[in-house]
Amino acid sequence: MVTVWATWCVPCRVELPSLLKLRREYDSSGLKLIIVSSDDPDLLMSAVQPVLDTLGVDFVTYIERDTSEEVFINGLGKDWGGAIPATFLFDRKGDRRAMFVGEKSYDRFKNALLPLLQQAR
Amino acid sequence: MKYLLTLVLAFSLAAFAGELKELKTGDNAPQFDLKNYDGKAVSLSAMLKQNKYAVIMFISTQCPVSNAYNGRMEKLFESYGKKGIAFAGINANKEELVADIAAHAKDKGFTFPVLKDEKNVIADAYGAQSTPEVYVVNQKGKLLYHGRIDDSKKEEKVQSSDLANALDALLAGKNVTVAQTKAIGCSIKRIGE
Repeated sequence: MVTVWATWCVPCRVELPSLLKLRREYDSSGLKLIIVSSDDPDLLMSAVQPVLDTLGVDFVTYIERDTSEEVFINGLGKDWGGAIPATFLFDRKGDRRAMFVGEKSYDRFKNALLPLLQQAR
Repeated sequence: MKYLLTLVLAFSLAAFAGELKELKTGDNAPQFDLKNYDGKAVSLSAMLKQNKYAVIMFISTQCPVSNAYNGRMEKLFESYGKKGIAFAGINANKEELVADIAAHAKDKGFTFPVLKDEKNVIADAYGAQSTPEVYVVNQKGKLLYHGRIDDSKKEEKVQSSDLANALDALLAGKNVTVAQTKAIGCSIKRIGE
């Protein structure tokens, strides 16, 4: 599960706790959550890290290099225009199985995730 | 049965974003007839009746990325509006009301219209996902450019003025070299979400 967020994106900050909850619940079942900030890298310590700290994120997360935004967007989805929040589900082979654009609920993510985890068993 | 239902539900939900129609350059741009924040009707056909091209900009009053472009959008309109290019902003965000759009346009000094797309019907027809996201249409109604205004939220870091480059090419009678671009922006808040 790859999610793209930014500190300036209010719906992203609203949504992140749901994704972190899913990670806590399904990490041992095969879910890997990758959080990518699309903030300006200059804001890493002043803006990005404080939000992650507040959310209790204690694992490695990533920040997009602003020199490669289009490559980054197309890498996650040719059909994704770059709107955030955006969350993508990939299987072990790297095939994308779902894309969510805009703020979504814990249940919507969970409903998409569970069948995939069951299939992967 | 419960599992099957969950599975079906999951795939129908997951497919939603992918179901948005994605316009390609050369496609017919969907017609619209919407109201400006001052109540006046603005249609794509009327914009193109008096102008060579129309620039349609999906924007927001609240999105920080869209707001970072307020000054640039007004400058583009002031520069290209007098060269036969019509501009219109479209606000499709469900939480942003006509009164908000009017106050925002006044506050930011917009002299181009900003139309309210109730129930995101036109955003859906265009497959617009984010703000700001722009489309350039010719008099035949064909889409000639789709994507970002330029390549940086920070004006001082802009290296590629993609929308202006497209408009310059069209005004010079040339083809648009880079007709499709992308950028990180705010998702359009649609009804039912």
